[in-house]
Amino acid sequence: MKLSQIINRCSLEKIVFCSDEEIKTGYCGDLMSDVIAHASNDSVWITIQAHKNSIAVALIKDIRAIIFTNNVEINQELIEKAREEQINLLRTEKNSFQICGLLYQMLGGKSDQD
Amino acid sequence: MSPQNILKKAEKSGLNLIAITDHNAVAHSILIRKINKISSVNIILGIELTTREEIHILGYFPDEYSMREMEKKISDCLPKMKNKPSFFGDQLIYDEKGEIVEIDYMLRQNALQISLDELIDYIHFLGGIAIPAHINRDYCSLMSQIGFLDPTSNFDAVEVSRFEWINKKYEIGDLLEGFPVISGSDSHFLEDIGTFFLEVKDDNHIIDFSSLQDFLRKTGNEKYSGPFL
Repeated sequence: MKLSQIINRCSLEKIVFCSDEEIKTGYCGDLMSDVIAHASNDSVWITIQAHKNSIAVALIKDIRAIIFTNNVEINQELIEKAREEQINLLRTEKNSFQICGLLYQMLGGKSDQD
Repeated sequence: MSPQNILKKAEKSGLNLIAITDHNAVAHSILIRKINKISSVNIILGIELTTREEIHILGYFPDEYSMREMEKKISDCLPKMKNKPSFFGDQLIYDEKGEIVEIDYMLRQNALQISLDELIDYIHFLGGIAIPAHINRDYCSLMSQIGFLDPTSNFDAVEVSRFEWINKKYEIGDLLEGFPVISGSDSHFLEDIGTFFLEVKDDNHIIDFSSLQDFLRKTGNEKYSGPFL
């Protein structure tokens, strides 16, 4: 599913939108080390950790889209880093449980563990 | 940020006591103490460790042996992943002559697979001082990862960020929930060194690990539990 379809269907706020990636699955995690160990590169990453190190994690795993939950505050430094590294940043007022539920259905109930 | 350059900058800035606290790495902390010939600058061996919960903990150690033991623990607990130089930069390792001898390819900006409690106990087991770093920060801190500072924890002190130190007008000797409060420059670049430091009052003579440990014990609520026997 294209990222743009996900954005529209989940009413996500576009903070940085630079490429309409093909998304196959998702990963939800707030511990950097956990995401580094388990997420896959064709996934969208759902997290509340809106800080510069999140970009590092996305780069290490080649994740192209991050969805921040709970309308968390996103500072300018993070936005600029994302633009520089071409990482899509999206935001929702929903919490991780809610947005994961939606995405899981939309992506055919597939996680990369299936 | 070679140890040689750090020393020069510290001397120029008039600093009397410094520690290199690299993330999950000991090499340069040990090296800077070995090569130091500047009498006005004293060195404490230190490191900044990341627990499984992704809390940063400052560890200060009495000698090279304990640092090497800590290094072994890190080797056991650090996941085997590669660094991303395009984001974190190359992790260069210098020698006594100031030349680059190695590139560290391990991803040090990662969490050790050891819990907060286990890590604090292990630092104490090695005779070291354990201090949660920048506890007020909104990531990688006690507050961000756990949500509160437990007064019954066996930390030797707590560190606040330099901004918090200035904002709250802390002084050496102040306590937070019974823990002595400290701060540091957290210099990641040479030009940061000397821009922030703590000033010690005349009657507190803190110039090495032992005097630091004595000072923290005297100031705090005697939470130190001693090495395991």
